[in-house]
Amino acid sequence: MSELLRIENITKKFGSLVANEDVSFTIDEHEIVSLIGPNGAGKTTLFNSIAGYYPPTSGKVFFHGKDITGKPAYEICRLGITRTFQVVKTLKEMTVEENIMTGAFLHTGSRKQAQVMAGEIMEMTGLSDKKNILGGSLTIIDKKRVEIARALATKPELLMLDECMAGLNQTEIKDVMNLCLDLRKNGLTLLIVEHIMEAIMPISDRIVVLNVGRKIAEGIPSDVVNNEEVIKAYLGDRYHAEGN
Amino acid sequence: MVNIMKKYSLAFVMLAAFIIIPLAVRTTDVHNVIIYILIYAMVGEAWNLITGFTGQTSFGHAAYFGIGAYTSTVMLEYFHITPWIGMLAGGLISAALAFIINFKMFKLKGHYFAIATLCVAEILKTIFSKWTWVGAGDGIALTPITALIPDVGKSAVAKLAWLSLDVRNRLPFLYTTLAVFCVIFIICAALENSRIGFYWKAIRESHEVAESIGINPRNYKLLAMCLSAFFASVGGTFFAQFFKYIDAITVFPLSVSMIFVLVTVLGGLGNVYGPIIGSVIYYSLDLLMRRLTGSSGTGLDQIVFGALIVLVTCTEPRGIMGIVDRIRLKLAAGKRGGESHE
Repeated sequence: MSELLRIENITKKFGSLVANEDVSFTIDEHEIVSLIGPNGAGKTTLFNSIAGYYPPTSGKVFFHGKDITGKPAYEICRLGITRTFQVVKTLKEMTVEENIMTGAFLHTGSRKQAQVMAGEIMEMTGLSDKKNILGGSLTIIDKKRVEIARALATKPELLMLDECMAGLNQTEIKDVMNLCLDLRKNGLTLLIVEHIMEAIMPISDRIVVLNVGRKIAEGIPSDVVNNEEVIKAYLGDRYHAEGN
Repeated sequence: MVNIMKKYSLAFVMLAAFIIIPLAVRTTDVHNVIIYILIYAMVGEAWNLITGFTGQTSFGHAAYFGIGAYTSTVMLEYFHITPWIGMLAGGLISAALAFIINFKMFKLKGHYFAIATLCVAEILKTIFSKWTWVGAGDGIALTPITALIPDVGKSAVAKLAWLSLDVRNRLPFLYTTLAVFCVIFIICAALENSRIGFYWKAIRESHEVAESIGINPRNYKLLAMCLSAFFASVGGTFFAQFFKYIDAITVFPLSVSMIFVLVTVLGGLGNVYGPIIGSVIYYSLDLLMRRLTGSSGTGLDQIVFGALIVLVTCTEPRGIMGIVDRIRLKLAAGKRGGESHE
């Protein structure tokens, strides 16, 4: 498998606060990599640095071997990296279909074609019967679906999901897990920030653990859950016991 | 084609009304009111592009309105150039100015941007009220076109080019205004349904989402602002030709900017029908109050209009068209419910 994204020694400081310090890892094509860590570990900051929402203080981001550090978010999206938001940002005054079409317009100027693309994606994400509902009046699970669908409509190579399972019930989480696996089967690469261990462990190929801005572990899920430092920092004894 | 007819059926009904009413009611005050309606609806459509669709509140559209009025007037009075060309020139100057100013100003968000737009109009007002070449405080009174250019009637085309914008032929002038309004309306409606319109609305709701799906917000905001400035300027040219007199405090003040805002907000912000509906109500009220009370009722229409704005925006932020849409949805739902019942 060839390398898709490489992060080299990313450091991000906000004044005297160090949010990320010297973080490096790589993501290969068709991989599902998860980024975990306790609150305040710097996951979303790292996410924002990769997606171009603010430039890292130092360090580099490479996509397909090309340096993309500090490029604006819309350019990074055009290169093939699309993100979702932790706090869902559904376009409230547009219908579900229009939300997704807005993403699809990245690849076509034609309204008809955008509609066809949106239709396919709604099929895949289970939104077809809700296409005429306004974004603002959806339930939280459907808002999250729209969030993912809109990102998918830009046809990314790397999809970055920021806590897309928080606030969902067990069945809904299962749906999202299956969707992630389907997407990978369709050729996408995923970088997932998530808190819900039960969901993340079975679908991830690799896990990167952050704590207080630093990477403290990286590896396949079963190794990570047994890593002493990770347990101490984040998972706690209870999960450690359950994991065994 | 049938789809378009169905989707914009309201537009066709209104167009028919605007064609028939001036022929049916041949009084000057009614014709004047209709011209006012069309001019302010024109600028309302322009304002709607940047504020209604793209979400960047402008309280200074009088700036572009005034530039349109002054450019065509100066070109006509000083250089004897037809207002049609003056209209285009004014539009291009406005668009260029909008580009230069907003290139940096779009870094401001929300209220701060709105205040900055207000300042631009106020600065222009001050400049034009001191600038002697354009009449300074005295302004410019427009000479009748036939007096200015006596040999205008050489060919039919030349005649049309000059006299279609001479307000002394009130009915032809009214229909010219209507035609130009229709062109602007069609462009706005087409834009709303295109990729550009979708991007504008995405930016209105969230800059971050827009960026996450590959939209450069600044470029699309600039496009909206430049188009908006162009159309507002066209409205300014019509105003000058209609009013036959301009000075800085007639075309540049905040009260003029607010008319564009208020008619659009009442009619429906972010709805292509909003400006025309709002404008019809605003000027019909004006006419009605004058007919009912004579000159003693001056300002009464403003009180009623103000109350109406408060009432409508409190019940539905998307204005009268928002209420219409809601009723339409309810009716559609009722129909479906009825069908399933059977």
